Amino acid sequence: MPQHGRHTSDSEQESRRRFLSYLTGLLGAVIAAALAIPLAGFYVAPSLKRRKRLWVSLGPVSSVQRAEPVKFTYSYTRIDGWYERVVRGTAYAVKRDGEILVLSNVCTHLGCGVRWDRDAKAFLCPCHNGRFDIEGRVIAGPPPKRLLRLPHTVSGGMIRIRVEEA
Amino acid sequence: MRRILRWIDEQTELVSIIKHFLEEPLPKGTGWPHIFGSAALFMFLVQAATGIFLMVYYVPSPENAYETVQYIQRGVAFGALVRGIHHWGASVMLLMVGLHMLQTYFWGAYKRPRQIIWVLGVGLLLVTTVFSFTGYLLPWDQKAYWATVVGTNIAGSVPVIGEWVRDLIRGSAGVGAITLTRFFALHVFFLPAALAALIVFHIFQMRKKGLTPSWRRVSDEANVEKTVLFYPDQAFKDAVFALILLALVMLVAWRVGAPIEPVANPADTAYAPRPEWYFLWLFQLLKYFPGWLEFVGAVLLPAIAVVLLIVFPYLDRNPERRPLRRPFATFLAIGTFLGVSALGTMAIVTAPREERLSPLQQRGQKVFMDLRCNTCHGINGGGGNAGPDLAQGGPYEPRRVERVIRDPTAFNPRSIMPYTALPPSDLTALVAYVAELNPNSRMPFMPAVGPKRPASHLEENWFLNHKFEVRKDPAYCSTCHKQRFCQSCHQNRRPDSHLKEWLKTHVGVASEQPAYCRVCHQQSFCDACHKTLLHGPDWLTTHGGRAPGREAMCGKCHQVPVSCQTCHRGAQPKSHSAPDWLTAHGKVAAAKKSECMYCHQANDCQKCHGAQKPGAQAALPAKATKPTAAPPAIFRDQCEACHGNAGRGNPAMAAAMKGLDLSKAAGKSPDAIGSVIRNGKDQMPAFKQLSDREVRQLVDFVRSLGGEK
Repeated sequence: MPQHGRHTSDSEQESRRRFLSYLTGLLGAVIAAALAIPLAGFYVAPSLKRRKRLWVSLGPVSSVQRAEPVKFTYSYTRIDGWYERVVRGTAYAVKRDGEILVLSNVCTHLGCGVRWDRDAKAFLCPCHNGRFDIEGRVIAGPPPKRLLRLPHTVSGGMIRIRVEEA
Repeated sequence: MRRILRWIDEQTELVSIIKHFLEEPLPKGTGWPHIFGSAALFMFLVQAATGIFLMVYYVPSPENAYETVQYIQRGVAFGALVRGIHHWGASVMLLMVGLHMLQTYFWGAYKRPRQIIWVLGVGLLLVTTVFSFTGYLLPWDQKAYWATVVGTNIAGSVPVIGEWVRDLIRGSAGVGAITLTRFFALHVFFLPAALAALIVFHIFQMRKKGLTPSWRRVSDEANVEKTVLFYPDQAFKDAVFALILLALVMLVAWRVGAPIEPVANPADTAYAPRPEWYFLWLFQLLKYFPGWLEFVGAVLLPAIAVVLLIVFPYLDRNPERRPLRRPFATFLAIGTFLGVSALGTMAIVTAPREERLSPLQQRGQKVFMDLRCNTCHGINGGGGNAGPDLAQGGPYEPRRVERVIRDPTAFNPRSIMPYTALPPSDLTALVAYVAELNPNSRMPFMPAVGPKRPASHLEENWFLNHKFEVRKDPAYCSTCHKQRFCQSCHQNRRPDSHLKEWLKTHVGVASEQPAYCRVCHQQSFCDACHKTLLHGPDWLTTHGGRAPGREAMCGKCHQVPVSCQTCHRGAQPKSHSAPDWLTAHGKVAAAKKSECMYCHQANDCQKCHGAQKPGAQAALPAKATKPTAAPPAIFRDQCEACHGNAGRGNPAMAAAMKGLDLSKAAGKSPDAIGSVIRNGKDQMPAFKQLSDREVRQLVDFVRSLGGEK
């Protein structure tokens, strides 16, 4: 009898312990989730922030007269996390058929800065030999798309372009 | 799942090791009272997890620490929660360590053979305390700064080596950048490593020696059945408690949040540093020690307490574990606990009350912040520097305050304070608030950042450092600020206005109210132009020599000649060369000596007079020279200014010209003397307008000077 009783007590003990271990696991999972969700959100949050678009002035329209692209640098301040910084960018403006085109100098391949080569009459990318013509169309190399044309307006003799916060 | 686990186990035996570790048999009677050790460990893990994530955004430098904490607090999703958990988790961890120690103590678990586990535990307590202390500084707010100043000064109270120890802790003479970086390194690298090593050793020893059976004598341990398994029996209880703790900490972190005070300001005189609750007893204890005994209360007693705590298990050899059978130890612990609690309670009770504002004043405070009065005015620091710090002059007479707000130029016509039209109710509230400001008042804390209001604007000298960007692209400001924002301070005073003639008419403002200039300019701005010409206290007395001929230079700042004439009126430097000026200057100098001092230095008189006083001069030449002939009238008119009334030279001109003593020319021929008079010589002008008769009179007079020799 005692042996029998001890036996049941053992199996009872065992099932109790199994139940407890499941419960402990559940509690552990709840604790882990309660910590993981805010921590993961905390880590990921800044990358999900929507980028602002803004208009910045590029330069006087009067300097875009030649048949060649003219290089302009523009700058704007943005709040970068916990501090403010001045972002500088480059864009080429060119007059084609009386219309002004503003081309971003960011290569559409992997983002190197392209530059106008006067002799080659093309935008050359220094990284993987991408080439774009004066209107930004791909003429050689790996770039998949033409150079980005930045939306722009001309007012008061100044070209203003719309850029996305970098 | 099982198969994966089995595979991992075959490869690494990891599962078996963990299983062996978890399925530790514990003595009968182990249960809820034994959860605190695990709870302390759990809280450490929570602290480690949240701490690591906080480091993703935190920057340990005085420039950025506060901003990054603000950014964590307001700019990042879950930031306030994560920081709150870390802040309150620290308290809970220390509380768990304390409860764990009390439990160990009352259960007699520190006794043979487990003394070393207790000693390691004391080590863990100390490391946890240093954790709190170093973590405190990291947000770089007022509390952080002042708590660290006071805390490190306690180390400085040790005789002889104290100051050296203090500077070693701080890394430099003051609490600053080096203190912050080393506290950061301690907090995130050294201490976690130390704590982890101690924890491992602590638990290893516990596993080795087994958990203390409850209420058994030391000699009576062997017979205790081990019926409890750590996993899942005890682990379940630990998990339940851990979840409760986490829920509690998260609730407090969410509802209350971690406090953040204004950025550290060493100049703040009104700040009353208060330590965290677990140091309050020590804080209170220090109040009972006079200055020269400071060291005893602040360092010696705590050090003795720590040493006693460490050696206690070796001192207490009573094999009895039941508290009631070892009354001395029990009462010692209860007595210490009550004593420490009493000190802590007294510290809380005697804490100075926060200044209470009436509802009207509270509204006034809100108006104050809404109007951004703090942009220019500090209240014991914490605000801009363009206007006076309001705490320093208060309390004020309400009617005067009201008048200044209604008409900023009422008492100072040059005030740049902008006029704001306020509804009467707001005005009354604002006056009620400002009038009561006094040297104990504190700048109301304004939560600083949102995505649209970067903390950087509150940084000291922000405008100063950003004036060019602001000017270059005012449109950028207008994304957050209204068009009239700049004008609310600048009114008609725009940066451009400084160009052209502006400086010339604002010298007065610049010298009277340099704070106005300093809002936008640094001191170097003045120095850039003035470095060669500083208008220091003695400048005016010497400028007479520099100004003539450099009118163009003066004209850069001053309106020439209008500015000169504000002092000189009729008396221009040239006036000194009028023929009769020098002869009469003795009278002028005697009567209005202070006027000479505008341009001349006190010893300028002595340059000519030597040791002689003006009074003596009149008598001396009379004695020394007795011209045989009286000077002719023409001599007095034309020559006396330089050659003196006796022909011996005017001492005032002696420095500038040679050969003034005519007695030296007396021996020359009359023709030679006459030629010099007619044609001039060296600096002496030609006197061609004189008649032959006048020349002859002069020649005779000059020759007569030689006769006396």
